Amino acid sequence: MNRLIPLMVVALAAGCGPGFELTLPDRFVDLTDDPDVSHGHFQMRATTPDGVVVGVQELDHRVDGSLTFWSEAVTRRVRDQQGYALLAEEDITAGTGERGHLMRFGRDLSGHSYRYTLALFVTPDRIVVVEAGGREEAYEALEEGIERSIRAMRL
Amino acid sequence: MGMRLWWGVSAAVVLSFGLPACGGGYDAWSRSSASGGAAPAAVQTAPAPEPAYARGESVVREQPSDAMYRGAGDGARVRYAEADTGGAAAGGSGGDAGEDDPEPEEASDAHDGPLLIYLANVGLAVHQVDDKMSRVEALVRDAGGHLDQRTDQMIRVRVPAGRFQEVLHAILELGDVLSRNVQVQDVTEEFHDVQLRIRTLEAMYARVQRLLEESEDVRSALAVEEHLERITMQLETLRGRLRYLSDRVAFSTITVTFQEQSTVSEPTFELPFAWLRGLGLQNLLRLR
Repeated sequence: MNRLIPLMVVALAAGCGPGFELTLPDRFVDLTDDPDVSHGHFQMRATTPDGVVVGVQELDHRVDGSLTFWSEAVTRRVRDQQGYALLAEEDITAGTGERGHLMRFGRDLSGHSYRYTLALFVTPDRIVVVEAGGREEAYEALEEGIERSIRAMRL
Repeated sequence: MGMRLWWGVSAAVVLSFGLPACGGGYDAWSRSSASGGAAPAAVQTAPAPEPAYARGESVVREQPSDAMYRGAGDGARVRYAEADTGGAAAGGSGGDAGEDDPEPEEASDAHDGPLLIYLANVGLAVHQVDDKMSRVEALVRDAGGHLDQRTDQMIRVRVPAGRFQEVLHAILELGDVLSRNVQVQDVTEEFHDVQLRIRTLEAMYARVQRLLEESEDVRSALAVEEHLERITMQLETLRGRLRYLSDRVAFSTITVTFQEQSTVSEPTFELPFAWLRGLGLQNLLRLR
């Protein structure tokens, strides 16, 4: 059983909005403050030694899209255009009560099977996108803990 | 005698090219088959269960018919049997057309339904590809079919027509289906046309062979043999086509492809939100 360690990411800098808080299982290490890591559009990333990575984006909700709209847009992009298998999906609720949608995908890359989970939380002001993925064997061992963390997320 | 032989050969050649095309050679075949001509394939078909296409499956029907699905039923078979080769028209000394081929048995033109070729293309999402390909192979083997081709991203299998629906639905259950397309081609008319042309040519072969036996000089014999050779080549081509059609009717083809949709379709509509384009494992897992 994983002992949970708090991995808090609070994006309080000017213009970054109110932030979020995500607590991941103890096998993860937070890379957010490591200057050697290129985070691109991610506000936060964490990884395990065997390459399961979690990343969070927080976006301004500039157009008035519903959770259903964004969920379908993500599915079309990831499944229909990139060939990911949609294994399951369900509505979820964040630890602070915001409605969200979680999608579980699978994809083979270079002969290996990978898992990729994407959760969306949509509020009038923000879209929070949580991505988690890695080699299938490594990911499945952590899947339950990762999803528990996502459902407990504070926005 | 030489002139008579030349006229005979010429008439035979004209008929050999003309009759098959005009479609009026059936009676000629009926008469000649009684004198030993090889007969066409007998075709047996049986009613098929109604297909249960679901979830927006794309079905393309060529030459639609109200009895479209009857031909690919449990017993859809195109059956060959050893023919009585004694005196068979194409088996004479003037050529070896069809000597090694399984000769079709005595014609039975009456069959229960149309002759249909079933083709299915299924696009599955790219996940656990090796495992799913192996399961497709196992499904097909259990159904009495066989592997036709397998690459890293694609597997093509042939299944008995009567098991087509069952195997296709089992394959659709294997993974996330991105696309599917089923084509049904009615080849009844072409099949019988080819049969008819074969019969006509076989009868022609027999007549020209008799002329060869009657030839009295080497020059005439060589000319007749040349015409026999042409008829033989035509017969081989037509018999090959008949075998191809028979095989396609008896065994349906299912192709399963594992690849992203964007590489197999036209440019797709894309939402103007940059973050959507950044989704996926490639960006998530890139830490440096």
